Amino acid sequence: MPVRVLIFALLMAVAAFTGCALPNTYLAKPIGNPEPAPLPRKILLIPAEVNVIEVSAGGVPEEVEEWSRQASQNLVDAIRREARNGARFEIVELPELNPWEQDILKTHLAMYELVVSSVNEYGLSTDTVWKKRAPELHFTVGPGLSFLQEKTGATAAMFIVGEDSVLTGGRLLLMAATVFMFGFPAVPPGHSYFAAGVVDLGTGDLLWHNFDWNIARRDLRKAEDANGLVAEVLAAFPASQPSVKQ
Amino acid sequence: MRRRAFLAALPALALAGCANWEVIQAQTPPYEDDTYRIDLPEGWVRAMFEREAVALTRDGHHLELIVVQRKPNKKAFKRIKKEASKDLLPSELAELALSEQKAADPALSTLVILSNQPALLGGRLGFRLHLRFTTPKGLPMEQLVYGVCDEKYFYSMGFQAPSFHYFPAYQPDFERMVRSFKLLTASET
Amino acid sequence: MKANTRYALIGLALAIFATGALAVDPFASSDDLAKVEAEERRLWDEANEFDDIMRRSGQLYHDQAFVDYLQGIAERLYPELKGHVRIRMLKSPILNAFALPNGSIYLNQGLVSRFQNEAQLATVVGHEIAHFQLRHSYRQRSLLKNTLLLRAVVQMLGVPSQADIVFSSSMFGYSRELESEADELGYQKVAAAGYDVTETPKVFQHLIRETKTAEVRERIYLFSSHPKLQDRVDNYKKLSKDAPDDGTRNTEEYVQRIGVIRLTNIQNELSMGRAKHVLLALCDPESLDEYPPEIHYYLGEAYRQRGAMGDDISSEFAYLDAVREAPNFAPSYRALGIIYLKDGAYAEAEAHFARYLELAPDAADLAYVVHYLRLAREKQGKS
Repeated sequence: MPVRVLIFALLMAVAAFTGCALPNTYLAKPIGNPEPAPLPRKILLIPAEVNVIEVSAGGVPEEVEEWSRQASQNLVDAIRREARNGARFEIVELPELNPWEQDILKTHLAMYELVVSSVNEYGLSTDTVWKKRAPELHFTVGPGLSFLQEKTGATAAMFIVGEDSVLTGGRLLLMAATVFMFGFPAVPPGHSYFAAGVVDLGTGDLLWHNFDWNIARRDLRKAEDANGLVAEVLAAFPASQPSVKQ
Repeated sequence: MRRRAFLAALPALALAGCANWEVIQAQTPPYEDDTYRIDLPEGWVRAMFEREAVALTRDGHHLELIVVQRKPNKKAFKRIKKEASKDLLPSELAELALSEQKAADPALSTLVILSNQPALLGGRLGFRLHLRFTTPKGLPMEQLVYGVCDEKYFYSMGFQAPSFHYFPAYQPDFERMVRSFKLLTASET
Repeated sequence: MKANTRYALIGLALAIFATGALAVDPFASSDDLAKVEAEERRLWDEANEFDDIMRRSGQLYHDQAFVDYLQGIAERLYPELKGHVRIRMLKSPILNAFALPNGSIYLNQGLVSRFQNEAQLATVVGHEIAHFQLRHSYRQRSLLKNTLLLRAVVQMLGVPSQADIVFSSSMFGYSRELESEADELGYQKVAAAGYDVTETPKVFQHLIRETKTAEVRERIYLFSSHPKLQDRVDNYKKLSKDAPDDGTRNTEEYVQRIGVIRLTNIQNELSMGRAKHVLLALCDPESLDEYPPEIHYYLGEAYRQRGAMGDDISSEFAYLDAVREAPNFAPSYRALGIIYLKDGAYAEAEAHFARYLELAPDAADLAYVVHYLRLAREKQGKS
C-alpha cells in the first residue's frame, strides 16, 4: 500500500476520533448582575505548569522535562506577546519568592486545578440543571494569594495549566496499522488539554477561564504552535469588552 | 465518604441529559426512607443517579460533597471486617469509622483528627469527627463525619471540601442538615 | 484479514519487542551519574517530581536525627555514591521500601519498625540502593514499554501467546533476575561494610510471617519471573552460607533509636485497624522490653480490636499491666473504665474515668470520657 495513502487514512481517522476544537469559556458574573465586571488590566503572570508527555508505542506515558520546559516557556512568551500586541491586559512578572511563598503558590495552583475541574464539569456543563445554575456558581481559590497583590501591585493573576501528549513514531505506526485493519485508530492518540484562567488576588475568585481539550493538533514545543493556541484561547479574553456572553 | 462511587457514576450520567440532578429549593420536601428523615440544604444540588446514598454538591463535587448513607450494621465496615452495633460506645463507633476511612484510601495516611466528640443524632448518642488530610499536590482538605447506630443500621453523614474557602463557607449548611436528622424507628438515647 | 498481513504485523511487533531489552553498566562512581543520557534523565525528572510531591504531602517522617542515621547507613554501604543517594522514611505502617531512578530511597516506617538490629536494616537499604546503582528502573522500563506494545498488538490480533503472563509478572516489582542481582550486590555491600551477614535472610523471614498474618496471598504465576519471598530467604541463606556471624549488628543503638518510631508505628497500625500486625510485633514477651512501659496499653488495644475469643480477657490484663508499669499513662484508665462500664461495674468505671480526667485534663477525647463518667454515676444513682 502506498505510504501516502496510509498517512492520509491515519490523518482522517485521527480527525474523526478527536473531533473539532471547541474552546470553552467561563466568565464570572457578579451574583444578581447579568453583566460581567470588566477584568483588571494589570495581571500577574504565574509561570505555566504544562507537562509534555511522550506516549510510547505500547502506550507508556513519560513526561519529558526539557519538552515541558520548552512548552511552558513558549506559552508564557506567547501570552507576553499577546499582551504587547493587544490592548486587553498588561503582564506583571512574578518576582522572586521565598520558599514559604513558593509553597503557598504551589498549593493554590493545586486549588486552581481543582476549581477548573469543577468549572469544566459543572460550570460549562450542557446539562439543563447545571446550565441554568451556572450564574450562581462560585469558583474561588480563596484569599491566600493576597500577599502577591501587596508584593506586585497587580490585582489579578493568570494561571496556565495543561498537558500535551506527543506520540512516538512507534505509536503513530501502530495507530496507522489499526486504521488499516479496522478503519479507525483502535489505540487512543493521547490526552491533551490547555487551560488559562484569571483569578482575583484579593478574593481568589475565578474571573475568567478558558480551556481547549483538543490541542493534540498542535505541538507546544514549537513557538508558532504555542502562539496559535494562545491567540485562540485569549481571543475570548474580555478585558476590553464590558459585556460578553458566556 | 463514598466519593469513589460518586465519581464513578458522574462522568457517564452528568452529561446524559436525563433528570440526574435536582436543585434543592425551600419547598423541597426532606429526604425520607423507612428509617430516617433529613432536611436537604437549600441551594444545593442532589445527584439523583446516586442510589445508595444521598449525595449533594453546590459548585461541583470536587469543591463540596455531602454524602448521607445508611448501611446494615453487619456491613458497616467492610474493609476492616468489623460490624457496627448499638451496643458500641460512640468513641468505639468513631474509631471504627476512622479505621474504615484509612483502610479505604492509602492517601489518607496524612489524616489528622482535628476533633473527635460525642454527638446527639436523631435522639441517639453518636460521634462527630473533624478531619484534615492533604492531597498528593499538597492541598489541604477537610471532612466532617457524623455517625450513629441503631438496632439495625449504621447511619453516617459526611461533608468534604477544600480548606480554602469552601469548607468554612458551607459547613453551616451541613451542620444544619445534620441537626434535622430524625430516626423514624423507635429509639432510645 | 489475510494471514500474510497478520503474520507480518506480528513479526513487526516481535522485532520491536526483541530490540527493547537493555544492557547498561552500573553506576560505578559519581562521574557515571553525570553521564546519564536523555531517556534515563527523563526518569530522573519524573522521580524528582515524585520527591517534590512527597515533600509537600505530609507523609515524610521528619525526625532529622533518625533520617541522618539512615543516611549514614547508606553512605557506609555505598561510599562511592555519597551525595547522590537520599534516604527518606514514609509514615506508612505498610511493609514496603522502594528505590527511584534518581537515587531517592523510600522506606516505610512499618518496615523499619520490624527489624531487630541495624544489620537487618542495612540489608534492605543495601538491596534498594543496588536497584539504583544497577539502573534497574531504566532497564525494566525499556522492557516494559516493549512488552506493552507486544501485548497491545497480540490483543488486537487475537493471537494467543504467553505475552500476557510476562506482562503481568513484570508489573509487580522487578523481575526475578533483577531482584536477584540486587540481592547479590546488596549482600556484598553489607559484608564489605562489616555487618553480620547471617542477619540478611531474617529480613524476608519477617516479611513471610507478616504476609501470612495479613492473609495476603502471594500471586503465583505459571511463568512467574517475580521471586517468591521464600526464594529470597533461600537466596540470602545461600549467599551467607558458611559466613561468620561476627559482623556488626549494632542492636543496642538501633533499639534505642527505633523506640519512638516503633511506638508511633503501632499507633498508626491501630488507627488503621491492623490489630493483627500489632499482635505479631508484640507477641514475643521479650520484645515488649524494647518498648516504653505503656506498650502494654497498645497490646490491650490490639486484643480489643481483634476481638477474637478470649481477647476481651487478654485486653483487660494488658491494660492492668499498663496501669502497673506506667501508672501515669492516662489512656489505660480510660480503656479499663470502658470495660467496667460495659460490664456493669459502675463504681470501678467511675474511678477509672475520674483518674483519666485527672491525668489528661486536656485530652482530645475529653467529651466522650466526661459523658461516660456521668453515665457511670447515673447508673449508681448518683447525680
